[in-house]
Amino acid sequence: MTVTRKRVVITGMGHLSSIATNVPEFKQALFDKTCGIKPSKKYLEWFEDANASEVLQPLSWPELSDEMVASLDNAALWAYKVGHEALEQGELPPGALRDRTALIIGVSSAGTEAFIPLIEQRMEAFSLQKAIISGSFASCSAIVSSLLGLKGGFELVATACTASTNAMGIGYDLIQNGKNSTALVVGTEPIYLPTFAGFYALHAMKRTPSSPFSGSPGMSIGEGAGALLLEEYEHAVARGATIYGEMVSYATSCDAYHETAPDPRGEGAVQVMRHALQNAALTPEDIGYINAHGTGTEANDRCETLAMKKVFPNIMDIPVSSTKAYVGHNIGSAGIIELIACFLTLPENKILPTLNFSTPRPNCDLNYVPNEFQHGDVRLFMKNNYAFGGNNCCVIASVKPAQSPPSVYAPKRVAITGMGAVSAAGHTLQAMLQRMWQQLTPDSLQPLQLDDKTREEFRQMLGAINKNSESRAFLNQRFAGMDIDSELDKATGVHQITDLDPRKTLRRFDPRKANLISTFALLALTQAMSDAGRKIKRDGQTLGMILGMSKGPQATVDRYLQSLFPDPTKVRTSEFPGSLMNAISTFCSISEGIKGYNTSLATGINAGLGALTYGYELVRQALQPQVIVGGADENMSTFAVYLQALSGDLQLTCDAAAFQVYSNHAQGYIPGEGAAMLLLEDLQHAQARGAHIHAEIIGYGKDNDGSFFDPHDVVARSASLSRAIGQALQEAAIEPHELDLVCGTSDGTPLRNTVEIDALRHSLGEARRKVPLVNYNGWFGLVESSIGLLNIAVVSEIMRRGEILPIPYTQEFCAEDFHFVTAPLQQTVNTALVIGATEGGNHYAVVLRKAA
Amino acid sequence: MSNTGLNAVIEQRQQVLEQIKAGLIERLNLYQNVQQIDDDTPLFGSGLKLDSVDATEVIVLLDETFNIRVKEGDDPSYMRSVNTLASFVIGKQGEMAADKAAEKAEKA
Repeated sequence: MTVTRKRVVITGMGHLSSIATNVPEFKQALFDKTCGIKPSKKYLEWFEDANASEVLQPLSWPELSDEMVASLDNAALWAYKVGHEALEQGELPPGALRDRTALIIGVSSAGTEAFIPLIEQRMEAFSLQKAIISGSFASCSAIVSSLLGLKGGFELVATACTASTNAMGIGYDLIQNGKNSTALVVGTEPIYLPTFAGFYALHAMKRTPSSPFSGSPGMSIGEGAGALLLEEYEHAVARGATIYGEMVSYATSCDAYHETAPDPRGEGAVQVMRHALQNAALTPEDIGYINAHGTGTEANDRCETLAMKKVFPNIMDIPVSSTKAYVGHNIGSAGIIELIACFLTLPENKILPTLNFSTPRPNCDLNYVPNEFQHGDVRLFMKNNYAFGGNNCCVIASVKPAQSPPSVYAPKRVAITGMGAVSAAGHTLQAMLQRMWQQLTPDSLQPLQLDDKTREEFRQMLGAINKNSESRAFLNQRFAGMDIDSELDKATGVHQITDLDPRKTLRRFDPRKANLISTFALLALTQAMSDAGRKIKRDGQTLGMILGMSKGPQATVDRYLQSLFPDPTKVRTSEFPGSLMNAISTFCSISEGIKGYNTSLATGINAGLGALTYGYELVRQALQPQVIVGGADENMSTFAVYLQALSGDLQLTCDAAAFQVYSNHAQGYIPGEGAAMLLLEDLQHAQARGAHIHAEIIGYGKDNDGSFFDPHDVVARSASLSRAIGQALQEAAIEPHELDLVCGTSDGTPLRNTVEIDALRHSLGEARRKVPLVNYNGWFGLVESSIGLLNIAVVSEIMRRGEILPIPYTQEFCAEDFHFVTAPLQQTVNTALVIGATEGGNHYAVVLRKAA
Repeated sequence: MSNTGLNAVIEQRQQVLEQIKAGLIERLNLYQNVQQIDDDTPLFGSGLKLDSVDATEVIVLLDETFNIRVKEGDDPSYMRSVNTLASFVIGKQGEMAADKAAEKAEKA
């Protein structure tokens, strides 16, 4: 059986950059050949000859209150602005249409702005309100979806310079599943000191505006945002939407070569272009124009040119240009801004020039459309972007719909054939499961020591809050009369992984490049691969890797930020690539030679479940036969643990037994660290090679509540989780009473408990009284990105053993109409539902079936 | 060269070598102590296995620790091993001392 891929068209656009504040202005600036790269007043303070393409024009937000604007960072504000423009242009009004619109944001460094005053040691400028609302990496999608009223589920793509191109790809794949007819895709990237300093210290920057493929090499950095409203073709036609172009195909890949340098043979770039062509059954001759990554650096321009020559036998006939001489390199928003430039100029039969073009460099000998527009009637064009860590992305598009024959795929069933984990409850998944089944309570709780310096930082911070009347009002309920010292004196612990010796088990392990979180990820990954019997022998391109991230490589980020002062020109360049969100997945890919689709989703708590849903689509749509999905976390610094607890409703404790999920008097919450990885595989492929099948994934659902600014709106939250469960059951084609087990991932706080319980009450109806309900977070602590996956690993073991383990520690439960498991239960489990949510209100549901 | 002069040269070289090794360990997450790095260990390839990103760290190290700004025209072969790096530093220190002396002489 084959399925025809749905056509995905563009029905709205939004834009912001140094040269334009909206789409019509951008079109004019492009035809005027405006170069927005100029000496940067802000960065000249630190860096000689600093140039940048900066958004300096005044912006206004008529729909937002001043208080709201003050609590948002530019990453979120700009994403909101371009998203708003795209939805307006697309005539997608608030209401039913937006309710089922997904939001995928691509960004490289989110959540930074709120902490810049701390980095710059200007405590008085720090706003705790801003830090709480937009200070976490994952908050960007939650904020923007809530402001725009989008509820079709969201993700945050963090693959550095390919983030927004990759975000388009995910939007495209989502639409194929049929759950969403519309997806808003956004790229947003304000430039902050850490990013500027990193590129500067790496000697990647040019002292004058960049001139891709010609003159002296070097990039210019830029900032801005772009948005595209993607829509299923029939849906767009039915509502009479204006169509600005079609997204025909896409692919991603990983070089698995180096954390910053491109593969000199350009293999990953070659592979991603070929894969994108192949997905739509196109040939190189079909492509009439290539909008290159074209950063202007020697290595990029040389390797990219070589890769295009390898893919296109007719490359001398194809115009190739880089838009980066207009607006610089916009990092996380680069791809989408460049695509919009194509959608604005190609319909006029004009091909964008590469500005600032002088003498072509050696090895750069293509038609780069130097300085002047060329005439051309382009049917299909290609947009490529490449990122640190070797993340590559290619999109093929056309300016008119239906310019290519429809493409087809044979849908696959998706099996889990490998599992691996590292947690405080065990260095391997097997050790962890053994411990759990022996009912050996965890002994990994490490008390947190609050040193004088950290204590002083808190006093200063709270002092600053009390001076500021607005933040005092915002935090009134929480800090009114709080005795900060007694609060900080409460005994606190985290589940910590100790006595780990990775070199014992890892064959290819570069301890110099490995930070703690990457080491956890690699350990879980190698377990999952060995469990699945998967060895890489020059076939790394057939294995994809999707990681979900919550706080990411925090210790590396911290070391990097500390090296910025006093002199940011002497920043630790070796920590810069490792401080990016995609560093963990690309480190794993480099270590193991994994070269297939590669993405990092930094959607927050339970981001691993987001990775699973995307990996599922890649296998289901036959884009990859096997995909590793996972997540990893290292414990936060003591300051961060306390900050999170103080600003939220988490009750820290130093007693493992106090972490009682679904308790009627919730009292404990314990952070954890570790990683979990699952190898997803085409079921037939797995059967053909005789692989052991742990479980099959038979459906998923994703929905967000849009109530980020009203976190206590339990009704909206549980309704959203309910919708996600409904979608999952519908795709799996099963009724609630057919479920043998339900596993939640609540962190045990009253709010999150209530959301899960209310949603299950609504979705399962009477069946809730009989289906066993479990949650195993008490065993490993809240390993933020991976709790959903860790629980799935336990559920798979339950299916194998036919024995359901009890919920640890909880004595009295918060509901009487549920079948909470309190003692080991001998019962066959054939079908299980696993649910989870991010802190920003994105809800996931996954249905698993025991392998036949 | 007199014995005391020779000893001073040896001591200076030893001190520079130590500073370079300590700096490399600190900046590049090398799991080694100063004694474990041989003076002739290559920085790249089979030696300390540094790469192009690390090379930028070495340049910052020269600036921070020895106040040496590498120029475009400098022969990059100083990056070969710990020893060549030390020779480069000592050479540059000599140049800087000479420049200073010349400056003083001019002022006088």
